[in-house]
Amino acid sequence: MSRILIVDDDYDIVDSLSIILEANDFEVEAKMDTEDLSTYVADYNPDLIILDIMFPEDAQGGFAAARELSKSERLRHIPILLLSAVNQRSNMSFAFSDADISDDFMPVNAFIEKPVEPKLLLARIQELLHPPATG
Amino acid sequence: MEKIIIQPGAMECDWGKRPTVERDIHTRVLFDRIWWFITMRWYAAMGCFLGALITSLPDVPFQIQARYPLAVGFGLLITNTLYYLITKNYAHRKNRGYSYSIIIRFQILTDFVCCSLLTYACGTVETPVFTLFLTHIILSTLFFESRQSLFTAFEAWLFATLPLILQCFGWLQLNSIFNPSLLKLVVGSAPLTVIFVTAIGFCFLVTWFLVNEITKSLRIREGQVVETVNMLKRMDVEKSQTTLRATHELKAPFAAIESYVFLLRDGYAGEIPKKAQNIICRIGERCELLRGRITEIIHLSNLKTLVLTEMNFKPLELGALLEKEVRENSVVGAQRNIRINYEHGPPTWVSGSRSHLYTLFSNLIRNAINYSYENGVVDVRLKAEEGKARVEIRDRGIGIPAKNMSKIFDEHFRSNNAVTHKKWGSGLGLAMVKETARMHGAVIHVNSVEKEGTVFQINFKRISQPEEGGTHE
Repeated sequence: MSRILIVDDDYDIVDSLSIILEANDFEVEAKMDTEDLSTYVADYNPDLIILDIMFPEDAQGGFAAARELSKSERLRHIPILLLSAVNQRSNMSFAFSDADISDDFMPVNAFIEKPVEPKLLLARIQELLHPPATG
Repeated sequence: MEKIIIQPGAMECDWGKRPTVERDIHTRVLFDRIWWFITMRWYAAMGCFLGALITSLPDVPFQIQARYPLAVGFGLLITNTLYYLITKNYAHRKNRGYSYSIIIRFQILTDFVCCSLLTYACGTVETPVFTLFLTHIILSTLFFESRQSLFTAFEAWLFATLPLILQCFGWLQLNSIFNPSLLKLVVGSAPLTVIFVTAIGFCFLVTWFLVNEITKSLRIREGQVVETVNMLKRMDVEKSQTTLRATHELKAPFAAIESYVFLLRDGYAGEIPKKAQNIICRIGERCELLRGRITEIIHLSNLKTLVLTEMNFKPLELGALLEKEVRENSVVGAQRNIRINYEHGPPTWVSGSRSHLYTLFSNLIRNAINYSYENGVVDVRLKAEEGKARVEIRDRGIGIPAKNMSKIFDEHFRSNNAVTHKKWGSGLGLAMVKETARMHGAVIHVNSVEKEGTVFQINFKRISQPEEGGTHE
């Protein structure tokens, strides 16, 4: 059973994601902030992290957390799925898509927008947990 | 056919020109002045060569030795090339403002040496060649602070009177181009030499004082402009952060509601009667609409108050950008069996903001699909013309009634036939298109015939393909 860590400050989003994931045989753990995330991740050792971008204390806390995790030799292998309610392409501040993912700017493996379509979420998680072999 | 043209200059505020406020205005101004100085020096060098040519002609009414203007001309050519290369080299470096000041100082010093030589060649007291020094005194008040420019005026005085003083002490051969008697009179009398040298000094000092007073007030104004620009930049950053936070706060609850709707719809909460499922789907649809509406309102308000830092313009290839937009909207069109034809020529580059242009094209293509009849065709064409990039989006749909043509870019306006054809719509799409076009300096032409279709033409200013830094998407 794969372990998934959800890092989001919105209880309802955590709840709805947990319902979907648990119904699909994932073990789910939630954290409502990014404080000491590296330690938490190291202890829980998830197979995948679903990470929100905006937190009450830091509007780009998700980016900072992703960068911190990517710096750790022990944790950088854990795939990160970034999640946010703010990603209209027309929005000037967070104008990005999957194509913008890079090690410098956004060290994550995939991005999806809230609200999450269950089918899309599960497909993305499968891609990240079982990436197709590349030649 | 009804026509309407939206031009950037026709609006209450002109976004036609891209703001080009640099991070450091002083550095930018210094940089511009150095280039201007370099350009002027090419002309001065040419003038010296021309002077040398004239002096070598027979029967000229004066006797200037051609070697002096030739030497000055070559001197200017060599030093100017050097300054050109140095300035170009420093253009991308940090702390270049200080380097630019030093470059200008050396340029002025070079000019003084050249002017001094010309003064000697043209006769120290017979011609007003020393007035060449005045131009540098005036310019230095623009380049430097008061104390520095006063020092330049002092330097000018030294270099302007140096040939006369050297001739006076007999360290330099007397040189006259008309009649040597006047020079001999001045050089031969110590009081006259002192009066002449002092007069030149006084003339330079008065010039410096007057120009310095004027430039002082200009500098105060410049300082105020810089202060205002910095304040606007700070406000911009604050506005972006507030907007981002507000967007998140407004959209997040709807995202949560929609997430629960998805759970109910997909059966995660158990079996739900068909009628309840329909109601849940309606709730989801309205949530999605509201979420979209919030984004549009915030985006439009952002576009209207957009200043400075957010205008991240880059060279963009329109063909690739449109292709992506057509590809994504083809899926939407396919739901009503509407085909999108896309035609484009060679790569066409414009300067713009990728995300904003996406909004513009997405809105127009989406409108063309929404207001087309089923099984219709939408044409998207990109054409490169003389200095222009023309994007044309044509549908064969319901069209716009003639009486409404002047209102289609108004916020929240939707014509009755549009509402009948498609119930939901914010009426903000074209307002965003107008604002986005305006900030890109693009001109929109609209032609429409009711029940036959509409053509939107957007004309951008075309740029040449960048060597680097451009993006194909």
